[in-house]
Amino acid sequence: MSEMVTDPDTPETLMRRAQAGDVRAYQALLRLSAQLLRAFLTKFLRSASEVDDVTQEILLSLHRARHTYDGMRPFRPWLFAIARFRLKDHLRKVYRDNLRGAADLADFEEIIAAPGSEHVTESSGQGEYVKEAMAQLPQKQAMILKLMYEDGLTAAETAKRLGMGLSAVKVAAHRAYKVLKKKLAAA
Amino acid sequence: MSGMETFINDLAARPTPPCRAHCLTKLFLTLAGVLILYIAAVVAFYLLPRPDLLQKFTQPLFAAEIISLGAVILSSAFGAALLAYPDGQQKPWALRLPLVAFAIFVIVIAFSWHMAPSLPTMAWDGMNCTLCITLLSLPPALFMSWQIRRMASVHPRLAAMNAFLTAFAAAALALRLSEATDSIMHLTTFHYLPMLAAAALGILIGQRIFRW
Repeated sequence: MSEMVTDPDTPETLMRRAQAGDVRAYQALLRLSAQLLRAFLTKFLRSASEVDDVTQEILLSLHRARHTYDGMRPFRPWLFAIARFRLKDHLRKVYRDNLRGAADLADFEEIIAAPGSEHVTESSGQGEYVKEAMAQLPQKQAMILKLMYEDGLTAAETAKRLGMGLSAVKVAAHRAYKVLKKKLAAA
Repeated sequence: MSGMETFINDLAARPTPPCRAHCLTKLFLTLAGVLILYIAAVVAFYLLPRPDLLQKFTQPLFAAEIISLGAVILSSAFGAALLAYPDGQQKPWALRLPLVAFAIFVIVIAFSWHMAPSLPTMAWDGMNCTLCITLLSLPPALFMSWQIRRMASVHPRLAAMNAFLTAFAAAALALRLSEATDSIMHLTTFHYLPMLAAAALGILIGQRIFRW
C-alpha cells in the first residue's frame, strides 16, 4: 500500500489524481491503459485497426465509469473487467454481422450465379452500371468484390491474398454489397 | 500525432467536474436503508401489521422464516451493490452470499412444510397476494435499478437478478408481516415462488436496463 502511495506513476495513483481533476495525470493514465489494452486485445483480435477501435471504445467506457473506481484497490482488475465486457460486446456484434453478412452474400452469389444473369444485366446495361458503382466504392471493398465475384475466389482465398482476416473480408464484402444493392435499387 | 493520441487528448480535455469515487458501503447502506424504511412504512401505514405479530415472533419457525427472508433481502441488495461496480469491488466471494441466504431460506420453508399438520387444497384466490407483492415491489425495483444504472455494471443480468429478487423479497416480507395467513402452501405458491420469477425476469431484461 505504501508503495502505491509514494510512486506517482502507478495507475492507482494516476487514477486518484485524475479523479481529483488532474488532466495530465488522466492523460498519462489513458496512455498507460491504451498500452495495456493493446497487449490484451491483440490476443483476441486480428487486425490492428480493430484493436485500435476496441481500445478506443474501452477508453471511452473507462472515462464514463471512472467514478466507480475505488482508489484504494488495484486498478488493473477494474480496467480489465471493463475491457472484457466491451470485448465481449464487440465480438458478439462481429459474429452477428458475419452471420447476417453470410446470409446476404449467399443471396448475392445466387443472383450472380443464376443462369442467364449475364445476359439480363448486359442487355439492360446494368453490367456497366455495376462496374461504375464498384469503382465508387472504397479501394479495399472494391478489390474484395473484384476478387470474389470477378475472379471467383472464396472469402478465405481473398483474405489470404489481401493479408486480411476472414471475418474482416466478410464484413467488408457485406458492406460493399449493401452499398451496391442500394445503388442498383435506385437505378 | 496518431489517432489514438488525439483521442486520448480529446478524452482527457472533456470538461468534466472532478469526481469522487462512489463508495460501495454508501451504496449498500442507501439501498438497505431505503428498503427497510419502505417495508416499515408499507407495513405500518398501508397494509397494517397482523394483529398477532408480536406473538408470532415467539414461534421459532415464523421467526426463522422472517430472519432468513431478511437475510435474502440484505444479501441480494449487497450483491446488487457489488455488481454495480465493474470489478465487483474485487470481492468475488461476496457474490455467493445471496445464494447462501436463499439456500437457508429454502431449508426453513422446507422445514415448515415438514411441520405443517395437514396440507390444504390449493386455492387460486391467492393470486391477489402475488399481484399485491408485484405492485409493492415496483418502487424498490425502480429505485434499485436507478441506483445501479448510475454505476457501470459489467454483469447487468446478474445485477438485475439481484435487484429484482431484493425488491420482490422486500414486498413479500411486508405482506408476510401483514397478512394473517399461515398456510405454507399458500405462502410458497403465491408469496415465495414468484420471487424466482422476478429473479428470472431480471436475468432476461438486465442487459437492456443496465446498458451503458
